[in-house]
Amino acid sequence: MAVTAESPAARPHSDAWGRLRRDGASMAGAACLAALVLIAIFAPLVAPQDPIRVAMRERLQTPSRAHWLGTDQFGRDILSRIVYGTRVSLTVGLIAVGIGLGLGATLGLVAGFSRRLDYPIIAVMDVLLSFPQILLAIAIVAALGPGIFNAMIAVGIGAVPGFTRITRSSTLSIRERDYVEAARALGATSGRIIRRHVLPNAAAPLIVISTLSMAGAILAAAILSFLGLGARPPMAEWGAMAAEGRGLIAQYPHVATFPSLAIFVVVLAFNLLGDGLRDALDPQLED
Amino acid sequence: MRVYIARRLLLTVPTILGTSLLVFLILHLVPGDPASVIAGPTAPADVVANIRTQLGLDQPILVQYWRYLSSALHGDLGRSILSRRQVSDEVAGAFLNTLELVIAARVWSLLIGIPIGVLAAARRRSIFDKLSMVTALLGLSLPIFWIGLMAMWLFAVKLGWLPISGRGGPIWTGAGLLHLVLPALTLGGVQVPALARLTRSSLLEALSQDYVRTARAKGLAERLVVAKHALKNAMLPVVTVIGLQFAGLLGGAVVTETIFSWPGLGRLAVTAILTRDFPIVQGTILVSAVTFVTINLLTDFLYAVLDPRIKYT
Repeated sequence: MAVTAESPAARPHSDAWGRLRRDGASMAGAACLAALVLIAIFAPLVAPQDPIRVAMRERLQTPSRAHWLGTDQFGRDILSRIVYGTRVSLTVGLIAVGIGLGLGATLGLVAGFSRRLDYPIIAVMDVLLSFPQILLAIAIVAALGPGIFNAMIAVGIGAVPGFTRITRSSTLSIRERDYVEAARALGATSGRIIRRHVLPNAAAPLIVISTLSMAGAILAAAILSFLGLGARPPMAEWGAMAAEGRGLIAQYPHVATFPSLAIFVVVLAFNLLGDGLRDALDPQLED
Repeated sequence: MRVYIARRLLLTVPTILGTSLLVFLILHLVPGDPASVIAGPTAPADVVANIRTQLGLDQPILVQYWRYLSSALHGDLGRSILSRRQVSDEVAGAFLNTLELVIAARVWSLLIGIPIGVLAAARRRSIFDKLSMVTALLGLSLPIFWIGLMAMWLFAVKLGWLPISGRGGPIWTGAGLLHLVLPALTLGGVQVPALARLTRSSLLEALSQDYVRTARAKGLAERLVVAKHALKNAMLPVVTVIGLQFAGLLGGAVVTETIFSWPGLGRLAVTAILTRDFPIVQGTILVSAVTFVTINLLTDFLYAVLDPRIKYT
């Protein structure tokens, strides 16, 4: 017999979409992100020059018609490097949040459904939460070795406890609802209950946290690269580019400033969209 | 209250044990043989063997962890592979410097962040409210290293008001104090937006409560309604976030210390990772994590003191 107990989240979020569309700030964030995604995809067409082409005769030029954002200490075009850096930052954010969400949501579901595994999972998460996130990422990079790939893993693992706790608390609350009880009485298995009821209802907070975590992950990965623990030269990564401009700050502040502003724009866009999504999906949270 | 404190203290023990286990495992997560990684690819076999013995890597892993834990409890965190100094000595000096920086940053961020949040809530929908909240949102998205670099460029390079980097000496000397300003300004500045936003939303919620309506109804001046009635209750979530923000401060200290060459834990950790000095890496991360756990514990105690409803739960 088909189990048809209806859960509230099974209905489309048309109200939420309407609220989100009316929020100018989050729409601006979404438009900005759409533009950044296009820039990342079409980087070879958008970038005026090769991002790793060294031209020592053109080194440390301030913004001009030839180089809109100037050049760095190797004469590389900063705008082109920022354009290519969009690819790196968005990929890092997506993979890191993917790791956090995938592992965190799975562990949260297991903890919420299994009384036996709940305590051990939460105990491990508490230990991970006892590290400030960037220090946890640094600890993981310390073990795995510096590099952009390891930085992504480190930032992703750092995000796991947050996702686990959110999913667990949603699961604990949803599994006590009447419609879940009804589904269980109709013979639904735990797997079906998770797929049909828990996941759709836990989706809203997870979407919000994922969007806001993208901002945090991109910032954390840029920090790791700035510290020399993430992307290595000559990769066009914004944090690493800012680090290269650190020693030049007195005379050539533009070298560190433009990549930092690129980080600012993408992080702000994710924050605006995340705030808007939170208000749209859960209007009670709006102040 | 005593029961609550005792229970909370007991709950900290497994967290600290887990933390020490994770820090211990850093060395064992290194791909390949940690001794060879530390010694480098061209090191002779006897050097690798020496490092293995020195780090106790030739022992069973449980024995290694037990030795690590019991030594750490006695204040012995091993020796730096590079300087051969006791890790505890190197970490202790750096810890005090980080503490100095974090406390200075915390104090100034509270002095700025809370009044901005209170004013924004008290004058809701005013120009000040809108401007401060937009600035806070923008500030939340700025990378800390850029704030640091810009502060350095403006106040040290362009205006020449403050020293560019380093620690000038003890905090009670003029040079020490001057050297502290820029790193503390950077580290605290990053915390201000979140603090202001939270104070505002928390105070707005308190201002919508019945007891505030009652206070207004009996003719109390708005200033007193905010200061005496709403603010005290609004401060409860703010206290929790002040505690949680120490994570951000300890994390941000890593970047700030690197930019301003401040000889603290964060800079020590980053240098140690790049030079593969694992005992130092373990020592710095363990001390940072234990500090954070302790701060969380103190925050919970403070919360219980401020909110009598928590005492008997």
